[in-house]
Amino acid sequence: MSDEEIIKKIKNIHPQFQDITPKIKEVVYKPDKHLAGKSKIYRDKAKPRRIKIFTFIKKIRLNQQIEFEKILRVSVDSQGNIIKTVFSK
Amino acid sequence: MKLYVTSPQQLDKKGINSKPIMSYLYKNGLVVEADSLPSSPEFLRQKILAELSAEVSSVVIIGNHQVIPFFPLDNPTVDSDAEVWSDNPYVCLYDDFLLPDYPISRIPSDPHNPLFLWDYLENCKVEVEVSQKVFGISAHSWKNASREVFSLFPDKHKQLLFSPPLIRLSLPVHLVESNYTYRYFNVHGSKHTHLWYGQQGSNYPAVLSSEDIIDQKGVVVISEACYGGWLAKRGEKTSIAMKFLLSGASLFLGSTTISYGPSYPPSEEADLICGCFVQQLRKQIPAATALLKAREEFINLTVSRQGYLDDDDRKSLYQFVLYGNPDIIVKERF
Repeated sequence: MSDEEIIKKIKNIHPQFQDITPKIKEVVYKPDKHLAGKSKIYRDKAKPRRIKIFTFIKKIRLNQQIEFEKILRVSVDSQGNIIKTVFSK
Repeated sequence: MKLYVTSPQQLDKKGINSKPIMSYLYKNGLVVEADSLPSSPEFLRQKILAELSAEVSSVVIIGNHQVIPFFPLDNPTVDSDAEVWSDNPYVCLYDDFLLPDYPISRIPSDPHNPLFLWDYLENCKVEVEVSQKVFGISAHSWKNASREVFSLFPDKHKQLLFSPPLIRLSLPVHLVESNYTYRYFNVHGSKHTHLWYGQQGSNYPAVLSSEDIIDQKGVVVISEACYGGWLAKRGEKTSIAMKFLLSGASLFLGSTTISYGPSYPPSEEADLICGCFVQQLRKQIPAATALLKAREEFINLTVSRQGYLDDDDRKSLYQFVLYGNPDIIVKERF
C-alpha cells in the first residue's frame, strides 16, 4: 500500500486531521542489549521490526494567547495495516 | 541509605537558605554536591554514578531544574519538544536510559516559596495513609482509556469525572479541598499555561488551574497531562504540580514534555506507565521503587504485546518524573 493510500485511510478514520500533511518516518526497531540484560521477558519477546510512523500535528488555539499541538501518531506495518494509534495529551 | 544530590550554592542563589537543608541531608544520608556553577548534566551524572553502591537504596534530587537540571535526552518522537527532560540518566549505569538501575525521585524547590523545601523535608512522613476516596478527571475524548487506568485504584468511593461537561467553575469542593486521597488526571496540558484542559471533539474547556488547588495534605497525584510535571520557570502561580506540593501533596507523578496515549484500552504510553505505577504503589513498596518497577512492567507488557518499544514508548519511559520522598509508602485506610 502506498503512503498516499495509507494517509487517505488514516484521514477517513480521523477527519479532524483532514487538512494536515503528516511527517513520515520509517524505523527498524532492534532489541536493545542493555534491556535484554535487565529483563528476561524483553530478552525473550523483543524482535526486530520495521514500522512506518505517520505523525499529524494540528495547532489548536485555546484563546488568543495559548496554542498547543494536537498530535496523532499512527504506526503502520509493512503491509499497510494500522497497528497503533495514539494522541498527544 | 539515601543518596541526596543538590547544589548548596544554587539553592542560596535562589534565596533558599541551604545551611539547614545541607545539615539535614548529611545527617540522613550520603550527599553529592554539584558545583557552584550550573553543572553539565553528564558531568553531574558521572559524579552520582561514582557514589552508587549496594548500600544506596534510592537517589533524591533536591531542587528544581535551576538547581539541578533535568537531563536532556534526544526526543525519539516527531513533535515540538527539542529534547525530553528526564531524571533517569542520573541513575543509569550505562548509556541506555529506559530502565534505571536505582530508584530516583526529586523534591523540587519553588522560586516563590523559599521555605517549601525545608518544610517538605522536615514534615515528610515515610508512611502516608490515604482513604479509599479516589477522585479523577479525564478529557471526555479519553473516557474509555481513563476508565481502564481508573479501575486500578481502590474500589470504594471513587469518582471519575469527564470534561466536558466538567469545567473549572463546576469543580467539586472535594477536589479543591480534600486530604489523604489519590488524585488521577488524564487531561491536556501545555507548556504555555498553568491550566489543564478537557476535550470533546474540538471543544477544549479549561478544567483545572493552580489557583483551584487549596488543601491537599497527604494527597498522591498521578497526572498524564503534557508538561504536567514540568516545573522550570514555573512557580506557585503557574505550575499545577508545584501547587499540589505546596498545598501538602506527598507525591506527584507527571510528564516533563508532550505525552501520548490511546483513546481506548488497552493502556499504552502515559496510561500504561501511570497504571503500572498505581498497581506497584498499592503493593505498599517505597514510591520511587514503585516507579522503577512500573517502568519494568511497562517494558514487559509492551514488548509482550507488540515485540518492540517504539518511539512514543521510549519517550514515555524517559519523561515521567516523581516528585516527593522516594521512601514514602502509601497505605490505604479501610
